[in-house]
Amino acid sequence: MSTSDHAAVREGGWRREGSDLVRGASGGLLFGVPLLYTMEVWWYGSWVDPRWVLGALAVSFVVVVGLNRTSGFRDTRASRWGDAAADGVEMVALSLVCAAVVLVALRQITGDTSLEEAVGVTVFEAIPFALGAALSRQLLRNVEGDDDDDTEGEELASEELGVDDPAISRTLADAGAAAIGALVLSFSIAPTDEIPMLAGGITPGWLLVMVGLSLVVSYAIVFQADFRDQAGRQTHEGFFQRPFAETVAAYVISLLVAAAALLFFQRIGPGQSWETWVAWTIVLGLPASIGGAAGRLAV
Amino acid sequence: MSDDARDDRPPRTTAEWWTFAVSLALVAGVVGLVVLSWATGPSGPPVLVARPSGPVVLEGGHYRVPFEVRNDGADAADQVQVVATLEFGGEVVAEGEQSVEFLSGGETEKGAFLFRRDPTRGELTIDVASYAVP
Repeated sequence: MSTSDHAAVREGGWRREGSDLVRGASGGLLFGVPLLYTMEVWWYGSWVDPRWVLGALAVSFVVVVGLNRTSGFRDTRASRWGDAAADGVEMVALSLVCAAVVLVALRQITGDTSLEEAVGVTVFEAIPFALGAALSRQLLRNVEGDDDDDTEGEELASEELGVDDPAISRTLADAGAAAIGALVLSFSIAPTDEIPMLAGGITPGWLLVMVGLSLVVSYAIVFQADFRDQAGRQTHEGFFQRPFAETVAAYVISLLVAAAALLFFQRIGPGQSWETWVAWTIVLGLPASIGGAAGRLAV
Repeated sequence: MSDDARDDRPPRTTAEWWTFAVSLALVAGVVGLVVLSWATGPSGPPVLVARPSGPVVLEGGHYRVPFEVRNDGADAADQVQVVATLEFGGEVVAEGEQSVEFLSGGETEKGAFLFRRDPTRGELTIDVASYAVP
């Protein structure tokens, strides 16, 4: 592609910028969510010395600028230090916003939290987000001209699953990938004490907010972040391939996997009320649905 | 598309400049808040206060005494031990203990003590016994 073509493409303006930001946020969420379910980090952020907070911000900025030179979250690489630094500022800001939103949804930042504590917790939770955002292009980049491979993959999937209809095989492949992705994240978080702690502090209204957040994040990662094969995905046939239906179906699979992981570790069982089952599963459902989205990108 | 073409990044668009400006303001704001809390923020050991926080209720054979424990100091406290003692006529008839896992500066946690005898007829003391430095 020539430079003039490039300039023409980049004049997409706000739309392109929005896509870049969603890509950065999605990469950040994939990386940052396990640390958000770690209570030691919530506490750490609230007693750490402010100077240490400043140092952490500075170090993460420097690392992110370095990563921007090779990866970054935009569809073009920042070859100049100036661009890398400007992108670095945006990434740190983006990760602060993402971390704050999830912390509010998890009720770790509420109206009662002091400003100092909220800032400290947000900064420390934002660091893995910023690293994930800085690696987002490299990790899950949009592979152009990948259509041939994809068709091969579909044929392969059809053969392996013994199904002739590509729409059905594609649906099964995506459902399986969502389940495996959800399993990887669920199993690492399900046995921890954070799930009952978070679920205990969340009202039904905030549980609904978590459901909405899980759906939005999973939709953004698969259909808006312009990672692998997004255009192809939006036109795939089969029930699972329509963006809205796929997002909801993948969320249901993620919830089932989250519930299974909690049952496996005997965190929930016949002795508990159905409210407990629902609350715990929805709380674990956020990382599970993010894992499920990453899994679907990997097929 | 080769990676060389990707390296050739054109000047930033208006949208990118706007994002950069908003991001810079946000990061500067956070840095400003941290510097402010460093410069003006109180610092000192935890000051822990425990007290009953509501009416005593008889439920399921127990008198429930809700309490709250607040950290009025600046530093956080770990494993805060709240102790309740119920005395009748100078004689201790019941004791309760509750540990609050973590209490940052300005934070309040709530709980309840349960007694078999009516604490309003005796002398109830709720106090903080110890804490650990995180």
